[in-house]
Amino acid sequence: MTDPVPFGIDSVVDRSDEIRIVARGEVDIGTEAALSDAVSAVLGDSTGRPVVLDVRQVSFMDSSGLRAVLRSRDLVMSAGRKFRLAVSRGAVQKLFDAAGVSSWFEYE
Amino acid sequence: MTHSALMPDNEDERLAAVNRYDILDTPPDGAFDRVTALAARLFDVPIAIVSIVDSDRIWFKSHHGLDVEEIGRDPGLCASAILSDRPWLVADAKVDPRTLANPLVAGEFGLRFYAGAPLTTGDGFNLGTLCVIDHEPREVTDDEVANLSDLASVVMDELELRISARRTVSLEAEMRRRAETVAASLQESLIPPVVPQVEGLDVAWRYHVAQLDQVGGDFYDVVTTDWGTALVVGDSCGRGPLAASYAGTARWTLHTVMMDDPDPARALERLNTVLCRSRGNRDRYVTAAAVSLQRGSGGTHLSVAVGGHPHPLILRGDGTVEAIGTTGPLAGWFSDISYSTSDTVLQAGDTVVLFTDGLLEGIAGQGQTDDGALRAVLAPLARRMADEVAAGLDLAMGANRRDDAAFLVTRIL
Repeated sequence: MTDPVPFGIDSVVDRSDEIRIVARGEVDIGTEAALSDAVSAVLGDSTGRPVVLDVRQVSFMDSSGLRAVLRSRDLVMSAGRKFRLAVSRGAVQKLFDAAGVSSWFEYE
Repeated sequence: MTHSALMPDNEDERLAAVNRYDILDTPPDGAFDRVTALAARLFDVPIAIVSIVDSDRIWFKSHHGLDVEEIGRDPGLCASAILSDRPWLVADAKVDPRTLANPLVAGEFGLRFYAGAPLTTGDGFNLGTLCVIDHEPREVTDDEVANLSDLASVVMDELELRISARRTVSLEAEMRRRAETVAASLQESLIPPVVPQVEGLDVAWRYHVAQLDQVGGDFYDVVTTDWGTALVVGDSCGRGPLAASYAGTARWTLHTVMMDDPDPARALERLNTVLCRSRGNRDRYVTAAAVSLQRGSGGTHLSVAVGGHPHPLILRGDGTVEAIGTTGPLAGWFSDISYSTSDTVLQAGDTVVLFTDGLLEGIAGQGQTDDGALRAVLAPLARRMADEVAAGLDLAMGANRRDDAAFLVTRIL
């Protein structure tokens, strides 16, 4: 067994048509704030580009992590921007389905 | 034997100070042994001692070069040294009238030289001394005396450190006790005080808290009403007092709504509205499953609504296990949402199990949302008493249980 990948923001990709935040590792009560802080941090620019939160490399997410994603969505949308989620089939998608929140997101 | 002339005026308070440091008869300790070794080397003497003067003896916390742990409180040396705030210096004990009667001087030990600096507490009590001893007479310089006093301060600092470390430990224990009391009080709003007795139903529940000093966010309720019985289980995101207060709000909202209304979907809708209105808790949500049971023709009619929560399982009398419910959103985040109900009919011997994700993870492992392992545990427990089913689930969780876990087992009689 390999050790779990620690949480981290892999990259923030500043493209002309979107700002993409790529997260990896485990999002739980210890790291949830770092996730939504990273999203909050890109809202400063004035271009109004959509924000994409890419959690395809997130290996584990608990209810606190889910809260951070919901919070991120609200932060982006209340700034008048589009919020999209990049998620692969797997544990994270299952968590969203089980929480009944999948239909509340736009996906890419 | 103790000499009254040796007693400081404040002896009772001084002894209280000695006891406060809780050092008498404690095991040897490297920190003090290093100081006595250093003192012996600095003075080029064979013996150095950290002594604590007790009511009727002088006990040695550290005794470098001397294989004795305590001596009587005889005048002339340490017992006299603590009467003064300045170092007590004896250049040749055999001719010094203050010391020549002391057993260590007069006896075969043959002490000749003694220099002791008092160990003075912050509030001015002399606990004992740091002293250096030789079998030969000698003079000491002012610098050497200053060194001895400085080393005595080091000993005192070490003693103060210990006392504050001990205080911190006991303070932490006290805070933990208080936190446990607070947690237990908060928990009272999350679950009924006793196993509810409901006619026609056999009910058992478990409420496991991972840490006693930290209240969990799980809640459950059994509500007996005019129309039948409501069963509720839920989980507030996070832990701690805020999560618990949110869970308490959720439990009592569902309780109140379902007292008058058997529709579990409407109950979750009302819950969502109430939670969304408490703006202070905007960054929180609750997941819940609500069930109504009504006796009717052909059996007990079960209706369930689910808000972002694991679906209740029905363990039929023949051992089949089925999940029931349609997933709606977790409650308290999105405004104006609706839930739908799923329905079935239960017969005598059928059992419905409501639970939080702590049970799933306790059985299948962390992060598991699949209920397959739980179903496998339940199947052989068909037709068992509710408490036996609950005990079986406890057993299946075993040592895996890390998170909070709540579950409610209800068998139709």
